[in-house]
Amino acid sequence: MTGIDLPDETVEVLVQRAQGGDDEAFEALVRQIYNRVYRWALVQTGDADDADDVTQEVLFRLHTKLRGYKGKSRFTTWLYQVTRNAAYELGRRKTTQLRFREKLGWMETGDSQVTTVQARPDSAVVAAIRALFERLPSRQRQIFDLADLQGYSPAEIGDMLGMNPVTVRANLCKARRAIRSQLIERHPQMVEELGR
Amino acid sequence: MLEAEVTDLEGRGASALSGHVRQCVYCAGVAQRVLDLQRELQRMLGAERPRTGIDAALSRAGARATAVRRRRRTWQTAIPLAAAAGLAGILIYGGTRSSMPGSVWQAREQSVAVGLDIETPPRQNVAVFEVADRPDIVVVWFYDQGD
Repeated sequence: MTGIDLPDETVEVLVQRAQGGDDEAFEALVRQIYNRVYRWALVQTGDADDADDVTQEVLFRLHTKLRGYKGKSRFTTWLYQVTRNAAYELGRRKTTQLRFREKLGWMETGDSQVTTVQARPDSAVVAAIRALFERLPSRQRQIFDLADLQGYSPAEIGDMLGMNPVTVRANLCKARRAIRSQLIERHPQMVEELGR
Repeated sequence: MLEAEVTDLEGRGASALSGHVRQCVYCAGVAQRVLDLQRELQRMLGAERPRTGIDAALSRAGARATAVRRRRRTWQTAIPLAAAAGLAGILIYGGTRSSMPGSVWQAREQSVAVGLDIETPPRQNVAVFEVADRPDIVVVWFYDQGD
């Protein structure tokens, strides 16, 4: 699975055209990646406002730095690194640690998605897994998201984060254990229901 | 199961766990719950949208990039101009000496010739000072040509 909805070849073609000064290709490329970049930024910063700022910054950097992309790595890898750097710099500017809201369901209230989730029978468990995810250390959270939720391989994640794939796997195991064990510990009904 | 790969939880892998999940209904159920919750988390995160609309974001980023390029072009023009102006200033004013205290009078060739016979050492110049209230005193100053 790739992190971007379009096939890699299509994205690379858009990138090449945009690098050549094709404004339409640039816009098409941005439309493809916009939500994805926001999601990455959200996982990295843990704050919707910060994620929005980071996304704007990434768009600006795409304008000014896209010509610098040489195609040595996949575009998504390069883009993730741009997003990560923007998030890091924002965090440094604000001199704050990653901020997570403690209360569950910190997504914008009034969002139809939230309503949908709450209507489900196991919404408490669903909210709990999100809370557990948000409480993971930043690196584990990013790796868990990229690997288990978005389907990137440890090698790809290693390129994105500038880490050894072995370290990626180690962090991924820690993240999985933290989420799954606490989920079973705090919500035993999740498993007990199966025994009935 | 706590650290297992998604494929193992799905019973699609070649590992012992995967084989067990395929056979044990209870463990397959637990694995399925874990996977369902992860998919739900994925769905929630995937549904997150930035507050700034894409059109507004595109136009804002474009305007900012244009402003930066314009500023950069201004600097690219201004820096060589400033450097040229500085160089010109050095060439025009750099050779002047700060004035010495008191009144300095460079001996004219004629007066030197009349009163004194001075032989200048190689690569040196000479200046002759007359003291206004002591006509009997003449100061002779040799200095390097580079001074």
